[in-house]
Amino acid sequence: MDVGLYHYLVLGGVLFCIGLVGVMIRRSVIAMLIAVEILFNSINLIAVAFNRFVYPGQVTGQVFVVFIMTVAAAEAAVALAIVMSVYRNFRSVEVDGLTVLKK
Amino acid sequence: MGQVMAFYVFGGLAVVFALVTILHRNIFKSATFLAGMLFCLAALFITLDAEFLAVVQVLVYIGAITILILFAIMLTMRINDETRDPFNSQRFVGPVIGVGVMVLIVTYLFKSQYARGNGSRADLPADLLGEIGQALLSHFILPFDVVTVLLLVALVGAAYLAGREGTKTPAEKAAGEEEEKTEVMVH
Repeated sequence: MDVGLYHYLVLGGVLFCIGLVGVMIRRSVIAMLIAVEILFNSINLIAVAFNRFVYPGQVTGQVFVVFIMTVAAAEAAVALAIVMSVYRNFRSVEVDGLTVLKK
Repeated sequence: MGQVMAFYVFGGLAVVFALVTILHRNIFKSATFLAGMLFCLAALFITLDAEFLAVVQVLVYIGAITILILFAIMLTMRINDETRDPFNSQRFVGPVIGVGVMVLIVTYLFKSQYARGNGSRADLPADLLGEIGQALLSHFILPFDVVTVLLLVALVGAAYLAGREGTKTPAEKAAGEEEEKTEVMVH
């Protein structure tokens, strides 16, 4: 049996849901960022799989993935800088304590 | 045959690593397992004939983003403190929603009219890397330029956010030191 488009799409869907659960259940901001990276990667896998199986003669999906990776790198840098800033102000990086806007 | 085996081995490993990543109590090990998962995805990219992306994945994700996350963990968290509960109050609702979304995705995936196609290797461009370069600098030139500006902005923004302590006014600095002194005295 050959590996086809559906195999990769299901794998991407499973990874996406794992990342989603990770974002929802973790308490620390950094753990949530790690889960977001899993989300990005599942999308990358799906984009490359579509490119390979639906339009193998073009490279659009791969170019999209290059852009997603760039934006993910920028996101990680800014988000971790914000985490450092939050840590400096609150002495903690857990989302439960970050309720200043609620008051 | 090799491709089938590689898919199941690396796909299974990726799922296991992702689960360990979100469930491990020690966040440092969690980030290390993230690197393992990213490596499995690089291998999967190779099974999809996207060697360039596999190399970029290892360089950018494992080499840069994971290291950045590990630095942030070491700077902000007490990683050996495993008594602290790493999960919040949604620990039971979260997995239920996750499984629900997964069932939804898979059900509609098999009904979708877009998820079709069985392109063969013969249709791949001979010079894939050259094609990507051509596409980046011709058809996708506008997003390419926007992304370069975005990276510059992210660089400046990250440096500003992370290093703001140095730009405090002298009065603020004095107030901060005063606070620290009182804290020390309280302890």
